[in-house]
Amino acid sequence: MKPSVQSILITESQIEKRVHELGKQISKDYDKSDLVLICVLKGAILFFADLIRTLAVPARYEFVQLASYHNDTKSSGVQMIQGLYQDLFRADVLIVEDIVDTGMTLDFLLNHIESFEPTSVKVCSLLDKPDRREVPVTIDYLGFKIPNSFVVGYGLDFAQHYRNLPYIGVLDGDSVALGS
Amino acid sequence: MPVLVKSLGVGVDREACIRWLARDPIHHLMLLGDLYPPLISVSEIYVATDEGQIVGVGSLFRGFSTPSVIITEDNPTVQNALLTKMSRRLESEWITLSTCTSSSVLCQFGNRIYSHIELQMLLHEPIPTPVKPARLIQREEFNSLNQFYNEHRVEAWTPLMFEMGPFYGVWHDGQLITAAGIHFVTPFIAQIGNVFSHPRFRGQGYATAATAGVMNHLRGMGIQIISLFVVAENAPAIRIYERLGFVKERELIFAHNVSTGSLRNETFSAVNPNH
Repeated sequence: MKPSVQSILITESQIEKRVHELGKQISKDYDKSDLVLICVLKGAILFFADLIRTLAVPARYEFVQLASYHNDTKSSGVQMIQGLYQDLFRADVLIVEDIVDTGMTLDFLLNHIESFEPTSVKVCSLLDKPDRREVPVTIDYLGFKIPNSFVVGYGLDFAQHYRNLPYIGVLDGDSVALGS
Repeated sequence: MPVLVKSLGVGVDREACIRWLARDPIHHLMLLGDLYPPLISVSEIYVATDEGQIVGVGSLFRGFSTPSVIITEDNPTVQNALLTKMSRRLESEWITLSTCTSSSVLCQFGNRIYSHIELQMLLHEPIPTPVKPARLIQREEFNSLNQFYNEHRVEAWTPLMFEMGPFYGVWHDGQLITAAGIHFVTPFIAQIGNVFSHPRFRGQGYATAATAGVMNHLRGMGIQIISLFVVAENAPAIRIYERLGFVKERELIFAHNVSTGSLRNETFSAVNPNH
């Protein structure tokens, strides 16, 4: 059985309003910059697509995909499934994430991007789940701070479903725990 | 003048780097592979220069769940400079493949928790071998191949490799039971890899057939040097490769390391459920 959406946490109109606010702020901050926006697949795809259409500044775009691995040992790693092709040297990089929770994958990506010696690296995330943070990371542009619930929609999935929902919804907790 | 280490793209030309490495493609094969797309997109390349001349190259490959460190072999001073720069980007664990000489330099940057000897073998005179029942794996069959490798935890596999060169497979009742392919292909050298047979179907010549398919395909592409790595203790695999015309070239040490104090020492303990 597919778990059901228990409630709507952030409505479509709230998202639209906040995305426009973020786009306006980013456009102001990155005026006359060599801006490169990096979309973290797959979750950020809808947020990214809407955000870049609100920008009033020229920008280059890149797409990365990361996978987190957890094993029996203390340490696990992050693997790049799809990486970067553009030279980021002296660029102003803005990572666009759907959600930051443990901070693990974001920290990995920040570390990797820094190796290209960009002028600046900042983070824009639609959602922040600070209760789950394990690695300290700074979010420079934040859409919404949310509680520690399992959320889906607007790009975020549960078992690859629900990404197309136009809102952020909370999944039924029991269903998620049972893995149904 | 001290050795300077820069990232590729920070005043160092990729073509110059490839030219420098291609002087000795057999010993620089892993670094050459990381400099070609799509592997370059998940690699951090570091170049050591002395008075403007390239003297060494290092790669931090992020296409595996544990990052892989490869450096050029010649000079300990250069190796130290490369590793010092690269170590700032390393997580707590990393793997490497190196000669015995370089291994001692690498030991300064990580404590070895596992190691084994790998053999590099090169194709000298190919011995004609039937490719049937193996055949080229088509793009629409990629998901079967990816699932097969993931289910059997084939370690040196990343889906990006499918973009670089041929993979051959054998099917039984609609299921992929053997596959062989490449780790990378460059104009100078290709590395055969990801050779795996389901345990129930071993000893029937399927891996030989699939590897022959890959080998012939690469030769048809005009690749002059065809290499592979095999665990030195894996006698059955070595026999297969020798029957195909491969000859032992050199020994390398594969090592799994935990970073020492100078490195970043973060541990990751959870998976982000929302990604």
